[in-house]
Amino acid sequence: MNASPPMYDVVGKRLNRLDGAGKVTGAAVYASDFSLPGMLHGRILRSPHPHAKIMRLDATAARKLPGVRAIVTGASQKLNRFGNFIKDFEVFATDRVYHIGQAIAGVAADSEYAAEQALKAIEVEYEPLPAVFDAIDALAQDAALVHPEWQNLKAAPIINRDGNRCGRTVIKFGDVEQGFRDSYRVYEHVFRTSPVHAGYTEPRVAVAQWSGPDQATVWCNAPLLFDTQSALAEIFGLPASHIRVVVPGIGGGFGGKLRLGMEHYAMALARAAKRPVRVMSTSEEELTAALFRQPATIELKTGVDREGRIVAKKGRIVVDSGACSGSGPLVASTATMILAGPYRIPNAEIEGVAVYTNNHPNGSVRAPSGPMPNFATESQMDMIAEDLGLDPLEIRMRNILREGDIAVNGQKMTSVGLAECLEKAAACIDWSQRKPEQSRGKGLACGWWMTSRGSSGAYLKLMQDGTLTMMVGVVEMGTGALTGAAQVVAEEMGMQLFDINVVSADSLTTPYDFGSQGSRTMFAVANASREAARDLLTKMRTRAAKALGADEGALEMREKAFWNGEKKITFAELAAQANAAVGGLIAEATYIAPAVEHGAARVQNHFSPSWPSPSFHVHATDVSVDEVLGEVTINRYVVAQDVGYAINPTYLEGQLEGGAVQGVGQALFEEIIMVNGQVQNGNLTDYKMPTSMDVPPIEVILVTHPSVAGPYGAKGVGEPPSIQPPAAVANAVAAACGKRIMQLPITAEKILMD
Amino acid sequence: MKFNLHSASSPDHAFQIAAGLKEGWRYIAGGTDLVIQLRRGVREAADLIDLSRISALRTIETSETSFRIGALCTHKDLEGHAALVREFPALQAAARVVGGHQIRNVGTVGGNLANASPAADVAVALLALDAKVHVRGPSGTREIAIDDLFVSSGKTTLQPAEMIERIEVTRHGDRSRSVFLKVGRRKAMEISVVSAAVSLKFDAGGVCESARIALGAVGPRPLRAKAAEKLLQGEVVDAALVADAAALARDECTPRSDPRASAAYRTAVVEGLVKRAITQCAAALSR
Repeated sequence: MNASPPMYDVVGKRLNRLDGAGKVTGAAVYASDFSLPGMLHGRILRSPHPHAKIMRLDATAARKLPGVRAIVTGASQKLNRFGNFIKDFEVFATDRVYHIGQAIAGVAADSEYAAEQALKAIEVEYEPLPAVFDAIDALAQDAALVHPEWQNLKAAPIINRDGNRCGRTVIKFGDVEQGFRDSYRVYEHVFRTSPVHAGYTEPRVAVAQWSGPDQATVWCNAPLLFDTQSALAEIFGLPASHIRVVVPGIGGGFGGKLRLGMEHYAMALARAAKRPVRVMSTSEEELTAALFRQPATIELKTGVDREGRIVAKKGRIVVDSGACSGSGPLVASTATMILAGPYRIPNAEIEGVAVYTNNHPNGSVRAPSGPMPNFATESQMDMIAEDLGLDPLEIRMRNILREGDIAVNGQKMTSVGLAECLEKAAACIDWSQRKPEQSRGKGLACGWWMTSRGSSGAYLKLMQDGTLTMMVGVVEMGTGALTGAAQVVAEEMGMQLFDINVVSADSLTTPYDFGSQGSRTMFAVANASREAARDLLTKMRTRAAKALGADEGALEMREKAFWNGEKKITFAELAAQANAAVGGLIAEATYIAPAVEHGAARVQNHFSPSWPSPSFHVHATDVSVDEVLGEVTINRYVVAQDVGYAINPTYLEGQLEGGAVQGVGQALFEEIIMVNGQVQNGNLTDYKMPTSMDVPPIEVILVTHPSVAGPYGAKGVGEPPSIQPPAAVANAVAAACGKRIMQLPITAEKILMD
Repeated sequence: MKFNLHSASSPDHAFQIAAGLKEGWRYIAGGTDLVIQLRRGVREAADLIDLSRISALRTIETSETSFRIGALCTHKDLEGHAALVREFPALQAAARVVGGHQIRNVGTVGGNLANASPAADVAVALLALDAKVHVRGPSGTREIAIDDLFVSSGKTTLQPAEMIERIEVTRHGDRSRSVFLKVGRRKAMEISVVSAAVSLKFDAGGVCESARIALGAVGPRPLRAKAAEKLLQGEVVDAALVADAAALARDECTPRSDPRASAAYRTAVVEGLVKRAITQCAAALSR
């Protein structure tokens, strides 16, 4: 598997990224930089109640204020409900609010200040209704219903709903109860996690302009052009092609911008004002009214034999979707795979449940289903090991999936780099000295993830100067994914990286793409573009053979030219000739990752029952705990990830470092603190993402068991590094001071007081 | 947020401007606390008088007996003043954990006091150093002990138009030492969950001549643990005495629960923090 890889000219190299110079010099334009002449500024009035009837809404006084150009409410514009899986979102509340922060009205004014003054002048009277804030409580038979009309809400057929339950997925096989009876010991624990923010630097922003009564353009920072386009088309009742979505640039997303942000508000306001309108969320809105990672309660029961081998595993993860389902049903569904973990399990019953509450709706954050169930599974693995007197590394080596094993979804595993990740991470962190001194200890956690499917298209055209323009429908999120895809195209074309001109992120001109999500961007875009490059090369070769009067087979391609002996025709000459004669040299291709076989009988209502191009990862960390203050110091942090193949090791390492730091944030610091649906720490003073002082340099080990489907064997890499940190840190803290923390984040207070 | 900004070239100029304004104006220096409070609607001010151009108040003067720190010195000015921080390590330790670099480049020492946050780091260090606060108002100057400056969260004994001009710390020579420690969720960019500053002076025989213990974020204002101080004074500081003093200090606190931490955690942790600060201070003195 790990024979020394073949050498390439462009792929596998640490080349500077295509968008690097613009970003470091400040020349790059982000969505938040974008403005139009005559543009107004929009602000949103939000509900202070978690659940209430709107008795009266009067904007008369607000409309008269200086600089106010338009006010939109649920009554003033007919806007359709929306939502990825269930149509349970309203743009502006109509007769009822069901969470704090829900939009009630929008104001467009000459300045943000004028818009803000107008918000204060809108009069609203509410009549509070009973509300529910805990997902487990919300599942009770007598719980107040968040959407009493839930049966009338349109939903995707896969969603298994019942009252406040807005999704339920089950993986079931074998006989789990018999398995527990056959077990040497059975362990049962409950773990909890808190909501966290995706942590992008640039707030969500949109500028909308209508060019007629039924045509609009939105400039925004949405990673999913076409999903955004369809959602807006649905809301406004327009054909999708009447809405153009353009992303000038994006200052980070981490999943938090996958669902609609400000686009619908900007469009509604621009339509009413007949002027372009920009709406940007404030940092306070980001921390009180963004789409957070769902908090979860995870019940986990595992039976093992005397050697610590898993005999049966029964688990349930309940995720709090908030008042609208958002990504919740998908998150709960995929979480079943993470809760099972990359282990050999003979009997299992794993359930993922998404629940409505009157908390703010949640969304997707990097590896949306990952850290919560992984925290449970990997913490419990250590607890079992400790009880059985086994080394945590050893119990994992006895249980992990290996080549040819059948995973919980019935899928046969191939290209499994997990054992190698475990061995290398353990060696790197010096695992044999697991408790090197008083109050210091090491922990590790392993995990798996998939490379999401969904299709990509690519258009290529050979330019008159012999360079190549590549048009794709994704957004460069900052990961370097498009540089990676361009490296693949350059390799195929015998070009240099900077010969590739990338055009992206315009729904009108670029081909359809499932979008920048799911660790798939580079993977799928590179595969589509590579296919198109092969087609283009065929066309070029045919024309070159004709021009050189030679057989195609006799031609040699090098130095951006085709050669027949001493005679050559350059790519630039080929392009010029073709431009004059036949409208140029162009090619296109599409790609979708092949479906992977799984055991259909094992799964019910599962969104992603197969696990395409799975990646495997191990995090190991060495921490010290101040036993007087409870404070945790991370001394070392190691990430070993099976990435398949590193197209550009520099940016790949950047993904693993950044992802691990983000995960450490969820492990130790970050939580949106909610009391009765009200955020208590809605500002960046009290919502704490890690600083450079909190995390040591991340030590990255790239393990390469190639994926058959991936470009050059690459697997999806972006999300996985955020999955394992909570469990790895929790296990290290337990090793350091004997304290087992069952609820994230692992604060000093919990270590000292719980 | 909307306000009129008036730039003052001297304290007297500031008083003149103030005399012409309706009530509800405020002084602004670095603005690192005030601007956030205005934005969040915690405070309101139609007019701000900007003091940041009064360069005479941004100097640190050294004499035989004291350092006189201009109120407009930034946290970075303090942190980087070699002679001052050599003599008062607690000041440096406190100044360098206020916010991040950007905050420390503009936030001022005077503002840290006038803002009167119970969690203010430099205020807690200065409290342990028995600083004197030189105050100027339209009718003249006065000098107050720092312990008499703070009333409660956001409230001081400063009269309406008064401003802090300078903060004076008395030099005690080789046999005194100060330590500042803080607890927070992160290691930087952190508002103290609990902070402690300890300043000890030993006589030639190693007996504690004076002790000051100042605590942050465990009461409505930066507070002195006076019973604990008294216990140390006149004694040889050993482990048992330190433990007793720390327990006394804990009992002098009246912390509240907030999203940063519970009162119970603050109570538990303040004892350990005081113990550690006294121990470090005493150890440095006996070296």
